[in-house]
Amino acid sequence: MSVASALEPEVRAQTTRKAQRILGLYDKRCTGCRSCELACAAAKSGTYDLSQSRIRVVSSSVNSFSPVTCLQCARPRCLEVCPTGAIVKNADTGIVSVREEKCVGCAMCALACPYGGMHYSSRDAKVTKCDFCDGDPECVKACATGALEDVNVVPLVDTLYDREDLVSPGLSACLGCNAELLVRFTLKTLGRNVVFASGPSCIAGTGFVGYGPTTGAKVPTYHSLLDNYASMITGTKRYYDQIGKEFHAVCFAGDGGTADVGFQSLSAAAERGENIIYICYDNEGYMNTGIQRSGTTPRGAWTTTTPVGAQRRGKPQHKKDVALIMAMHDIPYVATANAAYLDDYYAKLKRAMEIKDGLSYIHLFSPCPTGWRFPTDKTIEVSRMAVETNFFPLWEADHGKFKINREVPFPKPVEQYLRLVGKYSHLNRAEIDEIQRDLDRRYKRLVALTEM
Amino acid sequence: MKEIRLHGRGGQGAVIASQILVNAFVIEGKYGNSMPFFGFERRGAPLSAFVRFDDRPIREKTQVYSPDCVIVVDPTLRSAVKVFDGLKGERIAVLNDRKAIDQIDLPESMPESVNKVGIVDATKIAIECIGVPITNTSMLGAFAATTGWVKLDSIVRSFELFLNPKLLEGNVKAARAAYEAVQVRELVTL
Amino acid sequence: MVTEQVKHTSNAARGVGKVTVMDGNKAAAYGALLSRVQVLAAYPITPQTPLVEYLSQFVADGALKADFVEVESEHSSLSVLHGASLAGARTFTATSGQGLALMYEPYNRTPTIRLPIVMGIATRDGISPQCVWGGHQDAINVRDAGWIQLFVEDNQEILDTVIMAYKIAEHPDVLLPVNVCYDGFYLSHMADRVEIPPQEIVDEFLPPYRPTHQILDPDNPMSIDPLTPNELFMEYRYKHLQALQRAKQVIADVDQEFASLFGRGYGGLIEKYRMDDAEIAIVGIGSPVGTARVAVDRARDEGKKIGLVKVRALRPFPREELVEALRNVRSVGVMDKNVCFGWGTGVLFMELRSAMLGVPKPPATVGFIDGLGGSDITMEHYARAIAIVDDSANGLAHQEITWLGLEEE
Repeated sequence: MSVASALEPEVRAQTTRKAQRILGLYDKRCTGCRSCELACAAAKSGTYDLSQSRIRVVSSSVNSFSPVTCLQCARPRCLEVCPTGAIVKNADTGIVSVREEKCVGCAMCALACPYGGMHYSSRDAKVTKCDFCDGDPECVKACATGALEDVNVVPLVDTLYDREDLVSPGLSACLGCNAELLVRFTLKTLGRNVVFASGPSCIAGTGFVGYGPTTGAKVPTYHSLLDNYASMITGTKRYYDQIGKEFHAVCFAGDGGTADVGFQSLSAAAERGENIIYICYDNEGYMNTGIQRSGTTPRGAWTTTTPVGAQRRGKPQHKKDVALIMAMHDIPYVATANAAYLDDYYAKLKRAMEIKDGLSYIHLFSPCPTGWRFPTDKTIEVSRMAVETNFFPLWEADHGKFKINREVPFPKPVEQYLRLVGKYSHLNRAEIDEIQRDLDRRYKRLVALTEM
Repeated sequence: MKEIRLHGRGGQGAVIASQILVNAFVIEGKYGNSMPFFGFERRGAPLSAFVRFDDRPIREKTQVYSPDCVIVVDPTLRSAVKVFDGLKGERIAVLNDRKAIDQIDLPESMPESVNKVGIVDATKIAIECIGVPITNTSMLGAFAATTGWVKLDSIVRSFELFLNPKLLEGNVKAARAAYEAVQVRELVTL
Repeated sequence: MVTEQVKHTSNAARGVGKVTVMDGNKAAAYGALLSRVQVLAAYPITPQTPLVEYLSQFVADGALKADFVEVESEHSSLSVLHGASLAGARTFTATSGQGLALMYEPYNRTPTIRLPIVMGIATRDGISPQCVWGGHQDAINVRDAGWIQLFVEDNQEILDTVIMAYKIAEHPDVLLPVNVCYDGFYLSHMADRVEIPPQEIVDEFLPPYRPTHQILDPDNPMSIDPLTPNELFMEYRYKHLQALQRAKQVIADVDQEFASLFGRGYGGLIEKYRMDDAEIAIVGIGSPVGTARVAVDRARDEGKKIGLVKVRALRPFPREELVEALRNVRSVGVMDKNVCFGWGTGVLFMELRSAMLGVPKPPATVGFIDGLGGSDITMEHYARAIAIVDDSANGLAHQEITWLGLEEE
């Protein structure tokens, strides 16, 4: 049985763009206190019988806990496998629920759910699951450490599950590549009505534009020069504007093509007010050619051209803040984003798509396991830590109005970020302190801009 | 084919005058071209421009070394630049000078290469008609009268293509005034 | 493929237009205007600057319905045209000297992604020493980038050649960009009688550009210029070179068609002047050819059996046409307004010599270098050149290469 036919009519309609809340589960904050289980059991069964809870705390090792419950999937596996049609997804709220009268207690759903979100109640011989407590989850209220949050992520779920991946499978990116995730996500969000410029950089190196007679992208794309993304796409956009053809002109460039050799054409396109979306994925160096420094390589970072030796210890200069420089062009929209906060990036990309009065610039933080020297499964962790330390704050400037999109009330010391990334492993206490001071100074400047 | 060399200083419009002249010949069904001497264009610096015209297409793409006529737009240039060099044929000099022709020692003050002079106080005419001492259009009027190679009307009609419309009236007036005022004298009977 | 010149002859042609006076930059701008270009991008540089101003004014006045992108560099001007041409627009730009040098990266790429862009080069010498003046060195230096390069003699030919260049570039047998090379200052700043062809006849001659080989269009997704390895790359190059060779016929045909409509033709790849019974010849390129015509006329008046061959197309090089044109002469003098570093000659001289390889009883070839840095190629210089060619034809001692104007020193 196909997924579509398992969906009831009103449920199928849900696969449009609609906001949905789900429980955000943050295992690092979880202390294993099980207050959530107690709160859930009390709310749903009127007892403190933990077997009645629809959320579970699991422990993978000593002192490591994870809250586990239903994620209210956009395409629920449980719904797909249910033989009686007992599981439905509400078209308005997105909540997946079990119709008790139809459930035969076969527990196929519990087997199918990859997230441990379905629970078999031996008392009732039926399955139960999180129903979001009519929009006011008791577990969230009971959690003292913030391991549970009521978060709004459904546009993402929507995008990731319902939209076609416009990048063909099998790009030859490095293991753990963040840029590949970003380009797939970017195109899923943008959709097909684009012309996409991808010049010499990691993404083009993956075969995104193509290799020989094959192509890596399902949208019109071209291999721009390293230094002419913005001017080349200007020509395309101007002509289509002239003949009344609407589309999004998008550049997806690395930091070298943006901050260094291509900056002149980008700055000029911004100054001329070209209506293009320029996205820089910043992996802080020339990673495609084997880890050479760029203008966005941060201070202290090792690269093959800023090596660590007796006389020099990594890059002596600061990272060029391209997003801020672009904001000083007085263009309509500038934002920073990061794969660890895809909902934030999604919203920013959507905003950029609305902009008609000039250039939109989005600067993506893009950790590179190969070039930065960290394990390939740590990409998102590094991305998140960059925000939690204010090393890479998430902000936007919409028509000159600056806003920090994810304030970090108690930022972690930058050392915690630096220690995750091998390119900083040589740094000593004094150097780390210097980086912290510089980071604090820059963050203050950003805050000051938001207060203008 | 006749060749003309204009001498002026940057800002006096000698190059535009050369183009106006070409256009005047073309209006009369002739062929013509002009090119400036290629130097750095600075206000006040001496410069020259070269004009050729003929009943047949002009093929030469060189500077003019042996002009049939020189037009000296600025009175101070005669002491600074060899403006009369290479004159051939009718050997005409059209000069901007405050002095009336009777006040100039002729032919003694002219080099032997000059056969015929046309003298006009173009600076005075320009200030009266345009309000600024830009003498190029006055000198074209004087040129038409002195040489008879082109009709004043063809010159005046060509102003439209090269001059700011707001300045047309004054320049037409200046050209006509100079056409009337220029004093011409043959120095040698050929 | 070679026709004698029929300039300003046929008043019976339908395309007789308004006669006016304009400099070479304006003539190039008019060529673009009449070709109904849709996207323009240009950055000012001496001696091309007035062209940028003329085009801006055309757009400001509404005479030209096009987007003029005021770019920050020549690198960007050609890059903007890449994007526009890939979207299907007819495009135009022009540059000179250092601007062309800065443009080198997108310049090389234009023919290799087969974009039918037309670009003027107001030729200028290369620095250093510092110099803004004439010489063909800028255009000559990029002759092997894969463009078609047409050199012109006067302002009328600039205007006409820009129009013809689109027809050549967009021809399905060609699909390559075209440079219209006109001498900096000597033509760019020369005011000359020019006839502006009527728009409706130009429209008839030059239909709108409709790309069929590639397009950047969301409705028809296509990857442009993926990584292309080994044999596939070689195949691309091979086809590019084939297209350049096919362009020879197209250039000649387009010239004939232009002549039949407008009453002016330029001979296609080369033009022969007084070559019928010539025993010696001058070969030239660009604006100095004009002066050479007069020099040849004067030498004829003195009884010399001399002719002139004007090279219009430097790329593709008119090898067979030159061999045929010079078949019966004993000696040829080549006037180069450029140098061929490493050979101690001019480039046209070297290429003509290469063309003559294997030809039975080829003419003697002597070379002249003149006109560098804006120096004037005078009638006297031509007379001197003709005397040397004559010496060579008569077996007298002579220099192989003469730097005219430097001889006295």
